[in-house]
Amino acid sequence: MTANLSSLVALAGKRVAVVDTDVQSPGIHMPFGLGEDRIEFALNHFIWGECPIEKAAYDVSSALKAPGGPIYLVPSSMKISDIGRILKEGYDVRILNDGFQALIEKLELDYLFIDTHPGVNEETLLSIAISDTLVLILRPDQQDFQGTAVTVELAKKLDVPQMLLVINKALPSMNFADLRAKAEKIYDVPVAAVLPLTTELVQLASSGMISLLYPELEVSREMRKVADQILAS
Amino acid sequence: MIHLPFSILNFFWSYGVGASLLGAVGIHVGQKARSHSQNLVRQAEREKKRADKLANFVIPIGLALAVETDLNTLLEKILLEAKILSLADGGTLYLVTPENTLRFVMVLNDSLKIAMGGTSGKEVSLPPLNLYDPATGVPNLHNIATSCALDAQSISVADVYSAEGYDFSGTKAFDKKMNYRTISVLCVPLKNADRTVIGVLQLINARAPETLQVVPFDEHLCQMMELLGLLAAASLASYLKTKKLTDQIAELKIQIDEVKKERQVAEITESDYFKSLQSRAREMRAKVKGQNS
Repeated sequence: MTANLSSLVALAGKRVAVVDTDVQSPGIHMPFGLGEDRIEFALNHFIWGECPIEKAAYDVSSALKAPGGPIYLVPSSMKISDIGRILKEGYDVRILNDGFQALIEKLELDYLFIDTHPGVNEETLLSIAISDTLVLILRPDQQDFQGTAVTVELAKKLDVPQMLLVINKALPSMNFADLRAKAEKIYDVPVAAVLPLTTELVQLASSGMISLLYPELEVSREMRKVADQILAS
Repeated sequence: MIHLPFSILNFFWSYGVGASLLGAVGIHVGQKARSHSQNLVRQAEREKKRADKLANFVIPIGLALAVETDLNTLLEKILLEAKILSLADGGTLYLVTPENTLRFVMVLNDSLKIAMGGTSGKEVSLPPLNLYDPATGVPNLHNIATSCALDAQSISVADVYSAEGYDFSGTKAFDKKMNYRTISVLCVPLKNADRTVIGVLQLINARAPETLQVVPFDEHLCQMMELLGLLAAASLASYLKTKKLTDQIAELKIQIDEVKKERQVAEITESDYFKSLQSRAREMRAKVKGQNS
């Protein structure tokens, strides 16, 4: 989702970077086609003070397959030893904030996308606290409905200027309009899109970006709507 | 008189015709024995055919029904397969409704070229049958289909016109109107795993495989239909369960446990980390706002 949205924003000519703060289970490098062998420095190395953040930023604009603004990716390390170390030692999440600010400055970014671990933890809270727009992605099930209620409440307390909900993996049998209306009423947050669960999405898994590969699909049209709202903010 | 046979026998013996008489008796006995053994052979053949039918038809039908996801196709398959197995000329499938009626969901009759319900696209125009008298609440045991549903037992009638105990006036009126002759009828309850009757499978005019003459539904055919009924009921129950689940998903309710939410939010917001983050975020946003204004 973050890969798709950031790419769509980059395709609108904006300078974009994506930071994968999901240090426990990194994965966003996959749709961008950034191989592990290309990664010398990752976000982990910046956190450990081993490199400046821009050194861990990789130009992945070639993944757009079309002209647009440059797009960079700061991946989390995929090495088991690095994941183990960061989980074991922990880190001061305030370092992340310094890193984000430095990245915006050094790469002259228009948009910085922060991809977080699902749920609420210190990194997520920090990311929410410093964001201008929070896109909350939820699946239409009771567990996510409850979790979203908590996150929305926290985000409101952190004064996030713009919040958008994206309902992901909605089954085709569901009434999308009804789902959207119910979610907007209960959370008092606009639903930017309801993304249907599609075969293409399942088949693609994380190996590519559906909005670029299958732009004609409903799921891709809905993603463009979210990107448009981000661009309009 | 008692001696007469012996006398006759003696007479025939005397005249040298005894052998031919005995021979005749012997022939007679032989025919009877052969006829008996032929019957046994036929019976064994029929049993084998039924065993084959069970293995080759009933079980595969059960499997085919289990994977069917379209209700109309499922209903049609149940009735069609039951008709094919029994070589019945006609059949009706009823479903028990929450209002305690038997609703006609599919009606087929080959001779009369009738096909209603299922995938035929034609609605079944017949009114539902009351399982209980609406005024008195007395169970409707006069009708063969409702009686079958109420007692959860199969009912086989060899000839509608000489049967007693059930009211076939509707069937007879139908026959007269359509110039048809309903003879044998079999009703099989479709029972859930918890033995609840969810429908009734009714077959009309079974036919002998060799002659295609209308015959009663014999005991073995009834057993086979009951087996098919069990499989059909399991498939229907599974379909209805899935449908209920799908409907629930379609009408998804967003329920938030407010107490739990407040507790979870409080756990986070009362932490020092959150308080500090909140104040820093406010400062930062105020700064950005000041820069932009």
